[in-house]
Amino acid sequence: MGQTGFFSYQTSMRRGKNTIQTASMCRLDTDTAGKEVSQPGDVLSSSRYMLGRGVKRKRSESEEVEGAGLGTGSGRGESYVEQRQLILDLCLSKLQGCYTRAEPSLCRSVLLANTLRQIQDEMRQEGVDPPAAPATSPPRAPPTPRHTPHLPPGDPAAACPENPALSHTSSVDSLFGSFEISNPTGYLTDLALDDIFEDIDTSMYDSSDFSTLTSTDNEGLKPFPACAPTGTLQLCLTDLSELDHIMEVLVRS
Amino acid sequence: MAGVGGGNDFQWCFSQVKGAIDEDVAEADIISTVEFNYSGDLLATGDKGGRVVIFQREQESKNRPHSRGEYNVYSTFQSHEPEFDYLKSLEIEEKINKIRWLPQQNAAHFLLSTNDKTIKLWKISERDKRAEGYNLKDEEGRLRGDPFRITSLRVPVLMPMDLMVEASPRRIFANAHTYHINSISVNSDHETYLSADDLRINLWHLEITDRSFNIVDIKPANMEELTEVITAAECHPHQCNVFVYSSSKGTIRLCDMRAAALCDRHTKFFEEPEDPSSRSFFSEIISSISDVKFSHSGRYMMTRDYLSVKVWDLNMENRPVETYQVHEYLRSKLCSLYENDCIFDKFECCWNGSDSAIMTGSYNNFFRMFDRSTRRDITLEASRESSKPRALLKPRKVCTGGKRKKDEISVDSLDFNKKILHTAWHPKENIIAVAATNNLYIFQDKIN
Repeated sequence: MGQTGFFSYQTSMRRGKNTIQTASMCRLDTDTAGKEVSQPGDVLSSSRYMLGRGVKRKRSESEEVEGAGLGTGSGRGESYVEQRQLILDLCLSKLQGCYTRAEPSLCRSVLLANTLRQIQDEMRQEGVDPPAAPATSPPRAPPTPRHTPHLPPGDPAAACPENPALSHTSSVDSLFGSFEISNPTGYLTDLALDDIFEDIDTSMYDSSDFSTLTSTDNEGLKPFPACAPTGTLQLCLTDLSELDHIMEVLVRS
Repeated sequence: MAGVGGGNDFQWCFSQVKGAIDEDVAEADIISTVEFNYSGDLLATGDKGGRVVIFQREQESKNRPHSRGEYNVYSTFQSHEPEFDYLKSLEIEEKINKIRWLPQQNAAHFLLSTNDKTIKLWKISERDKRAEGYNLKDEEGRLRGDPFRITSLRVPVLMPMDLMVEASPRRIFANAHTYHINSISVNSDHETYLSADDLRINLWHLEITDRSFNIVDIKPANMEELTEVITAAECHPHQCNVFVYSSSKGTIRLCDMRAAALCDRHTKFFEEPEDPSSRSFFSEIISSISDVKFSHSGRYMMTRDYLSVKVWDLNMENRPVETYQVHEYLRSKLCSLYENDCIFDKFECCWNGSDSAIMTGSYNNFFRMFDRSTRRDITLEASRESSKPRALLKPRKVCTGGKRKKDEISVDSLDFNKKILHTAWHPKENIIAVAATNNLYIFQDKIN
């Protein structure tokens, strides 16, 4: 039980990445302090949310973190700020990972985004520049190319845009917005259904063929009677050229 | 040491375990839902591979007095197949998210199964006779030569044959959900059911597949403003106009369908004020409700969040009447559980037949039961080691600080890959089904 806190955090994280290949066990217990020395292959993947990677933390310090009882809210000591930064960084990396997950979960993303906002708000209220994580590497890629991150005026974070951690946090909203794109409704908006087909000449397709072709598609291109009664679930494709292309493919096959 | 559940003094004992013993678990074999039917004679499981396996309870035989109605495989079928959405380059998993039985109306059984997108109504029926002696067809169904050569007519007769259990899809309810379906619930009118995804709830008629009614829609006009999702929904067991849904913010809304076609305005709003002393960065994540279940009586409902189970009286909205800690010792480990994503695990919960006890899962293949009247609780483990016939289940204890006693397990040695998310309680008896990764454990009571 003895050694917990950040050490366990880092080691368990490293183990977590290897779980699939090596071990079926997933525990929260800690490795010995000796293992704290990072393996080279690990650095890239984990350095983003590692604090002071390479800087050996004293044992007493790590215990203090655990003892601080994260979130008691009272002790806003160094450990609290560190922990907050750690959670913040993890939030960001998790949100970025949302796109690549096998099972994208909107619930998970919303919870992460809310946590991120909460931490950001808290930091803004304090008006303190959070300590820049020295080992944080620059963002691997912009979270989304479609949305230029911007900070609201008066945001203390705006003062230091060169801080990678902060330029990152500023893009919460865009992260979340782009989740929507990779999300089932990404291409759907609230336009009327008729509009979808307005620009497409479907006369060349036999209607029965049309339905059989599209019945394999989960969303279905068929008129959407399920949504008709209330009209609140109207679907549309924003990208009509995409639909055109798909239709071409389907018809040719 | 007494068992929890039912009031009588009894202990839980092992009955059966289903599934491979292999250490290597195929992803597709992981059980994703467990559900008894209304009589308890059938037990259905769904897995990540899109399969549904139905177990049937055998009649108790006098020859084997020790086997008290074991559950054996009755029918297995592929309910959902993996699909690919070409428009969105999105894979749609075949994983069965939920199974719900319909009340039995005739000899056949019906159930609803759903993956992320599509709900299917399956009919499971038996056949032990077949017709023989057709005039125009032979036994294989081929036409018999020249029909003009037939000089006499014969009446086909039903001949006995080996019992065959058939599962056939009767209805497919597709194209009404743009987010992932998390719940389905059959209404007490036995004609309609609801299906809920992250942002919407739809109401269907069981006979009509091309139309559903959207009864809840919490999707904001601008998705950037989204801060809350629907996590579970269920129809009231007796009042067909009432349903509830839970949210990721830890609240439950009760809606009355008589009030309006679109139940955007709730009738009741259940929320417990947050304890400021336990506030942390993870407060919202751990208060997200993963499951909501009405009691059989319809008077109460139970919600499961990450660390606790709460029982609510439908007549009291401001706080739950009972709160049970499931694994409070994890509160100090939330940071690690957040890091390894366990904090997003969705544990379900269930009532026993008389609503006197509740059950829910935990990590390390532990599951918990709480007796509501005595407030006693017990931690049990689903493990191969104690899976000898009629072996009593030993209560487990997790060491929560201080010195670890004998037979206790420390928090740090819990295996967080072994989690019990899905459990089911027989509607009338003390028989429980517990899904532990790819294994289904069945336990039952042993009266002292």
